[in-house]
Amino acid sequence: MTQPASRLKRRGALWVVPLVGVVAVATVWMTMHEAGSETSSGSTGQQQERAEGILGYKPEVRDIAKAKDEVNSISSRVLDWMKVRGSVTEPSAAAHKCEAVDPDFTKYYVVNHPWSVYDLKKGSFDEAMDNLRKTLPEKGWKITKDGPMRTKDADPEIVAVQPDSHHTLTVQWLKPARPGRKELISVDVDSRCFRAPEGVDPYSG
Amino acid sequence: MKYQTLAALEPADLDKLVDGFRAASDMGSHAKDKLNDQVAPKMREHLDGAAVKAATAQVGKLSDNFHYTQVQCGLIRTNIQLLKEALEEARKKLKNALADAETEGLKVNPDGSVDYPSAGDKDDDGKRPEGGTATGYTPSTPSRENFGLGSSTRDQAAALERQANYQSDNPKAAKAQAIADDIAAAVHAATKADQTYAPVLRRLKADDDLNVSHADWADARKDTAASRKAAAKIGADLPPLPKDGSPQDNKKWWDGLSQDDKDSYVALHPNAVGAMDGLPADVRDEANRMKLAETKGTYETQLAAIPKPPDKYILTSQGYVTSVEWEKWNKKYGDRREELEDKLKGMDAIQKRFDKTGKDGLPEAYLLGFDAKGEGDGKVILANGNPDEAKHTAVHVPGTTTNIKSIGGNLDDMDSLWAASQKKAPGEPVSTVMWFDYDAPDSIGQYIPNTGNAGHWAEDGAPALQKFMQGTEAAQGGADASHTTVSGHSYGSTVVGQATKEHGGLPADDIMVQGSPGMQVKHAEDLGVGADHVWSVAARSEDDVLVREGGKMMGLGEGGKIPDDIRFGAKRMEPGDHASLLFGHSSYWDEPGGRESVSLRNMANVVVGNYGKVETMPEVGGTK
Repeated sequence: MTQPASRLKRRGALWVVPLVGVVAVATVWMTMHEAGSETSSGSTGQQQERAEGILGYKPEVRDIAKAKDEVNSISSRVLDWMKVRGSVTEPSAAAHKCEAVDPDFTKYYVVNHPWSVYDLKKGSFDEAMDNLRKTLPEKGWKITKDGPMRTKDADPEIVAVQPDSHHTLTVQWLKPARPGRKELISVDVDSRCFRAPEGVDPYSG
Repeated sequence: MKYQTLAALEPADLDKLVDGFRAASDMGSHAKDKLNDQVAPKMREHLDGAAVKAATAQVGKLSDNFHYTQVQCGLIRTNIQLLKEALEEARKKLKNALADAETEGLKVNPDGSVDYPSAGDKDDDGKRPEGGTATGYTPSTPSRENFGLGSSTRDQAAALERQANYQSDNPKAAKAQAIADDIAAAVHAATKADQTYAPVLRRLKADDDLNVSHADWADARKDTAASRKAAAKIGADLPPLPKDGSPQDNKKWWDGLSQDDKDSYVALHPNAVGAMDGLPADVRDEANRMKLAETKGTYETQLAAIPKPPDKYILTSQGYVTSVEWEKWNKKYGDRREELEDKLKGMDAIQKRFDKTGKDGLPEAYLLGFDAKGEGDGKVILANGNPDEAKHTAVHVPGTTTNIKSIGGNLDDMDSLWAASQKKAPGEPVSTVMWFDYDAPDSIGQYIPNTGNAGHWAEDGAPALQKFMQGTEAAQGGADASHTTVSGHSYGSTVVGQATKEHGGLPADDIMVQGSPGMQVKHAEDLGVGADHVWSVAARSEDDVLVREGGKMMGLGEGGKIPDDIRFGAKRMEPGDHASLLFGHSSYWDEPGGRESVSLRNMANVVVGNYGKVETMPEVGGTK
């Protein structure tokens, strides 16, 4: 028992050198990281350029209520395309921070709407997934993934993107994990990053 | 106090007062809860922006007022209750003595002394033993009558007289003396209770403005201490606290108390009750919120008493230099001010979580442990949702650098875990608990080279964690009452591993670790929940690698194995894409763009027992 321990210690001593290096690099990077996160610095133009550098696109200036409406309306169309009837969870789309550009949530935002449909009264989950497979491309959506999730249950998952509006759609048919649990289709509709109009705080809307 | 006063006293009259203050305290509690758990959440749900801020701030103030009312009236109720019990006991003793006197045909004088007649029969020497007066014994205290002098000679004289009576030939003399002693003792006890409680109750008179200030809360803390002292002084009849009892013993003890005693314990011993493992969550919450409000009031008051610092830099002929005044100020107050501000920051973070109840469905918070100092870095144990009623419970131990100052981030993590978990098990109450009650290492550097035993923080913290888990299980009603996951982030996972080695093991169904530098065991199997129920997630970012390899190097994993190693035998969960290649060690609970991250989704599925929905890493192809 003593031998491996001493071997471990010797190996440990050798580790210190690169480790100290990593700490130093991390410290420098962290300083840069923090300095870079100050979105409020610079002119609007500079902020937008910086955002484009990170995201690969220039975030559009968009009214928050309008951006939420768009996502809500996609959600209701997706539900129509499923052609099933059942209970649907209540909450509506909400704005969240665009982490990569503005972790302090002062100017940039994304919109996300998570919802699910369960307790079907008309149609089946299987049909709902099939209907989406058929209708999404017809409506101009591009399916980027259609296959099982990488879990033991291997629940079916469809991911799609709208090439013009850049909204993404994630649909997961979650079969009951345990007896007594509800079967449901979970849906997420997400937008790209937007910039709030001048003078509007995206956090408080 | 004269004995007639005591005899005429109806302590039961105080019951009306006790009931009144209990009702007032309950009203305060009820109103506070309603504002916090119903009114404010509804406002947050339906109002936006500045309106909700302004409205909930007002509701918060009102709720604080009701909380203060609840605490103060609860304290008054307890004091009157204990005073009443003391008076009742004294009165009972007096009544018995007076009844004895009547049976014996002895006359009680207004000063409480007892006359006895000469004996009816002649003695051996042919004389009738003479009658006399017996004066009761009272432990004398220096008083105005004897100027603090001669009390001992007076005591001696009284003692001799009493001895004489007890040994007298006249059988009535001894009886009279016993009765006089009883009367004196009863009057003494009643006087003492009266004198003890008069100033305590006087100090509990609140000032008459509507604003509950920091100073008011600081005072409430002193009121509690004064009340506790009073109870000890009169030897109040409260069942003693269980000494070093197991959480099961604590639960049994608490369940056996009357409601009056429970109320008195919360009022007089909020610190002890709030920290006692095994007690119901709502009781601990009540006690700890009291402690939090009082501590905050005390700290704010102390902070306000520190004078403003003079200007740090002054312009001299040599340019700007640090001023001597500032240096002097800083030496005297600098550290203290920083400490107070840090602790207050943590207390504000707790308050912020209270204020989030109802937002996005977040359930009520239960403060299961609080101390500004704790084991050094402070102590905060906070549950989202009542663990005693939870079908799924997760208890999370944060890691290196955790401090009360930065506790807000750890609380946020558990909010996220709650939301993600509850979503996956609708209708099955989930409780996520942030447990911070150990002295965490202050930096990764602290357990990198040559700092001696890198495991000592874990060894020190493990017993407290195990006791907390046993207490949670006891309060829930046994091992099968809730599906329980114990979680540890970074060095917190080392504490979790160490706790499984405590006698009796760690009562948990699943163990889950994030960015673990080692768990003080060789293999997942050694943790006692079965290797199939040990879950590890490790970010791909540099900082996470640094923590893991650092821990491995320092021997936090026995045999050089840490949970992310395939040979350790844990189920390795997919961490998902982290925010950056360098930083990911603290991103496990992130919700980028409002969506749960892959790691959060996986952890939530463990918490609700959806094992088949956890995305695990392939166990082949690894080099470890």
